[in-house]
Amino acid sequence: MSQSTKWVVGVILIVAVVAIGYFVSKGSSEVSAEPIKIGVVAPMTGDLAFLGEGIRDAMLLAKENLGSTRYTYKLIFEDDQMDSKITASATNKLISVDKVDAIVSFGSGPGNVVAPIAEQNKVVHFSIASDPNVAKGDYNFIHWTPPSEENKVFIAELQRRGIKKLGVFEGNTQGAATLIADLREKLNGTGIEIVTDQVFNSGEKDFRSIIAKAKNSGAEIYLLMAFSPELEVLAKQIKEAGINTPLTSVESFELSDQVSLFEGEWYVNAADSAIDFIDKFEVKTGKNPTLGAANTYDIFNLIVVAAEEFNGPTKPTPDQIASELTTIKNFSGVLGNLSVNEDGIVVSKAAVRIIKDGKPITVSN
Amino acid sequence: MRNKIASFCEAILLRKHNETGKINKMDILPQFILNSIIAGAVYTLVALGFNLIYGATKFFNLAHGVMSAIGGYTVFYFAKTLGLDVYVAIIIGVVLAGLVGFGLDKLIYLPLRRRKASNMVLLVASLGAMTALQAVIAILFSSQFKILSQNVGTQKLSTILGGVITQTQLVILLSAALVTAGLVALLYKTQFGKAVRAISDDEEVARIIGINTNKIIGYVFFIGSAIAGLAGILVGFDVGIEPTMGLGLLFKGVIASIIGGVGNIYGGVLGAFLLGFVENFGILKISGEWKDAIAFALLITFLIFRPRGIMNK
Amino acid sequence: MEYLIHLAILFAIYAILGVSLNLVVGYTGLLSVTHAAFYGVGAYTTAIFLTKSGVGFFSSLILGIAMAVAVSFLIGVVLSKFKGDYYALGTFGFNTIIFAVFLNWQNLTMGPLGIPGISKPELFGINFTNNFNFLVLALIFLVLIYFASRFVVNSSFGRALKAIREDETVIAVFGYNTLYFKLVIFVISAAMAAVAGSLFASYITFIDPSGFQVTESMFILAIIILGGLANLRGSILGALFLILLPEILRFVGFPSDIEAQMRQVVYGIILILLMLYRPQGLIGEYKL
Repeated sequence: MSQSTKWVVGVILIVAVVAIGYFVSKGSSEVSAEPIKIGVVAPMTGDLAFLGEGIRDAMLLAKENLGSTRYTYKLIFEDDQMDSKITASATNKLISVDKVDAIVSFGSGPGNVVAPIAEQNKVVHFSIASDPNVAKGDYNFIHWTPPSEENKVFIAELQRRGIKKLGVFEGNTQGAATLIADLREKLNGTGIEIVTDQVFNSGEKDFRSIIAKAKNSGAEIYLLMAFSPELEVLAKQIKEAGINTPLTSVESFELSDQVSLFEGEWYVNAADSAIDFIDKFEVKTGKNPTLGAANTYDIFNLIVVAAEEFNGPTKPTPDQIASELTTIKNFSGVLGNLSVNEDGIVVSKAAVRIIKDGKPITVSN
Repeated sequence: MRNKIASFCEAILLRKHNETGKINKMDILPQFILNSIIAGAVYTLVALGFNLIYGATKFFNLAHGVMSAIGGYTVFYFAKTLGLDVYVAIIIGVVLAGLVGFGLDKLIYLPLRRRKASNMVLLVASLGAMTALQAVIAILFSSQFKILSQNVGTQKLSTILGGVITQTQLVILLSAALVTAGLVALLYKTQFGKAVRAISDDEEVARIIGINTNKIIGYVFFIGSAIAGLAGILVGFDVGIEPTMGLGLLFKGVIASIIGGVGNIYGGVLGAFLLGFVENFGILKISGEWKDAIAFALLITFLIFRPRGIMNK
Repeated sequence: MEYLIHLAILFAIYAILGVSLNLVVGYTGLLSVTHAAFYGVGAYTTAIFLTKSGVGFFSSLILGIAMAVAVSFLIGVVLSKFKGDYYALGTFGFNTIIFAVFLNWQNLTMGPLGIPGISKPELFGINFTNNFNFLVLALIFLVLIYFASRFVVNSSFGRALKAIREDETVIAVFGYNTLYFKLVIFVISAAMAAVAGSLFASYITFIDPSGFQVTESMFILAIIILGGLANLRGSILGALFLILLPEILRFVGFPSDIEAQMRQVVYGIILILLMLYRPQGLIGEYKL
């Protein structure tokens, strides 16, 4: 093919995209009795695809379990591979082509990418993220038990059990970093010491050497700040190293599909992740809920609750939904009693749980 | 010096434990050595397969890592989903990985070689193959991390010289040794091996003297990919499998090959163990999150000072 | 429309990255897989200055270029000793190391948390939160960099680069200091990548280390291989193709639970087919 043909091909490509964009946008605005559209941006391919799939399944489950509502709700899923530029593209596509009323994102990284776009375009944005920066603005919300809440409960339990030496294994991620930083601050003056703090990168599967380093630190309990799959591999290798020290975590044990690894261990979790939800999720997908799935389920229902407050013949606008969201208090969600504060942060309480016979049991509230 | 030796002996013989919070170097040394050896054994398997194929074709096959994933997932399917005997599943896994590698050669690399395509084209084609195959595995099995072994955390442990090792890890060590020995025998004691070595030296010349290079290269792909498949299976038993596991393994294998000396079996093994040691001992002092950076710093150091690797041809 | 403007901005940024990498890979024949590191250096410099000091966008851009020049100079000196495949592996290693720095030097880069709240450029009171204005800015930079690259390529300096690509020993025999040429083009290319980084940081207003790993470098490499090595217009076309393709595939209906993975399969197969039937890329002159 000659040079000029190439240019023609390129131009045709561009025209095709514009045409698609035009027709699709035309198409979606012609639907009568407009549904409230919720776009979901999550990793559907790549290393973290199993998390994105869990988010998607939780959303679909929430929609299936919806009773009768005044408005109809439509879900649109877009892959972002946890890659910032693709997140931005997916968000823009959802907003300008699909004309969504709300976007749900997963992770503080993507959350930070979506937040300014959502704010500028006046679209509700609910992120499964812990970075309070994501919640900045009137349209942005986050749903993740704040680290300070979790640490309060964690330290209380450590003190109750008379533990003075804590060993930490933390994944090099935003969530773990924030939690440990907050934990260090709160431990000042409590007499509890972090005797070892081993950091590892996501994707690491060989923890044996950092475990060896931690082995002689004299820790009475190890805090595993990691999620699947690193969590199970780490726990397994700790046991294989002949270490019988108790293990604990914040949030992750009951999400694991190898719960037996943590039999008898206590940990801190967002309160009362309803067994009901876990069961329903398992029936639908055959798997345990993944990280953030429960939050996603709640987010869908929170948006519905906010939207259903309106009586009009046409669906409420995003900014109406957004202001209604901030008024929600004491909502009974899968993650317990939820209230949305004025900063757009969903406050849920943490609780101590223990794994007994493979199932999580709440020990205290 | 004498005190050091004395406490080292104490550590081996009496396996004392330090009660305070300090890291007793002598105490964890055996474990670190063991960890390095285990890591080295895994890298050896990957390096052996990679080295074999690279030696014969001289291009960087990005899809080589996926063969490990294929091996692991095949065993998962046959042993865990279908319930076949584990050893049968392993054999199927290794063979299937070899076949896929063979297939890639016949379908993609061979036609490209026939057109005298450059290494970069082959590299990009292998990138395409890797992307597509990984996605297919994810479609079939979902991208969630899975483990191959039935017993979780209750494996038989042995204590060797003060360090702990599991049964699977012993198998890994044994496999690495056996495969190395087998490959050496194949390459140096058979006609086939002679042909492979001739091709590695100079493909043109090999063809001129009558060797059917394309056929032999096909077999090389089969063997190399089968070895990679075995590596994936063993890693699956030791740690677990996920669709994207191949790339990480591949790069470790590549680093091992280069620092050991590309195209040389013993070099690959040496490089693999050196990498294992440097990686683990590197984080003795430095925090764990720099592990990857250390591996690559090692690579770069070698590339600067000894690009042909430890054992030059 | 907003969606298309957004895609156009991404296209402009990646076209800059493609054109700059092509100078090193296509014209000089050095297989560099570390471009994302310089992209990141530009992005982080801009991000840090815009969030932590009063420095404006354009000043931070210059600072980003300066940082990239410094870093690429050091790396380039080390790399100059490597040949062929080893060069590629060396660059790969450097990208990994620089990524580790982005991730772990938390006092400076905030590590995995990333840097949010990066402001938009300020120039004559133009509102750059309007994406169309930002697009114009990005396109202006693209045009500048394209013409600068064309100038380099068509000059005697450029001819020396091509000679190095064809046969380095020969040209060295003629008295050309090949090290100098390779180093200079490497640094120039890094400086341009930094510009793309600054634009990216300010546009998305948030950056974190994950966007600057080796996979990103491989993506940029794929852009220029697809578009055609040693062809600047090819790099622009390649960027257009690779930014648009995944987006177009969004509209192709696959069953929702395997949709995203299917896209990867299609993408992979397209790469293979391209290599099999059109290895010189869409409009390449230099067959890989």
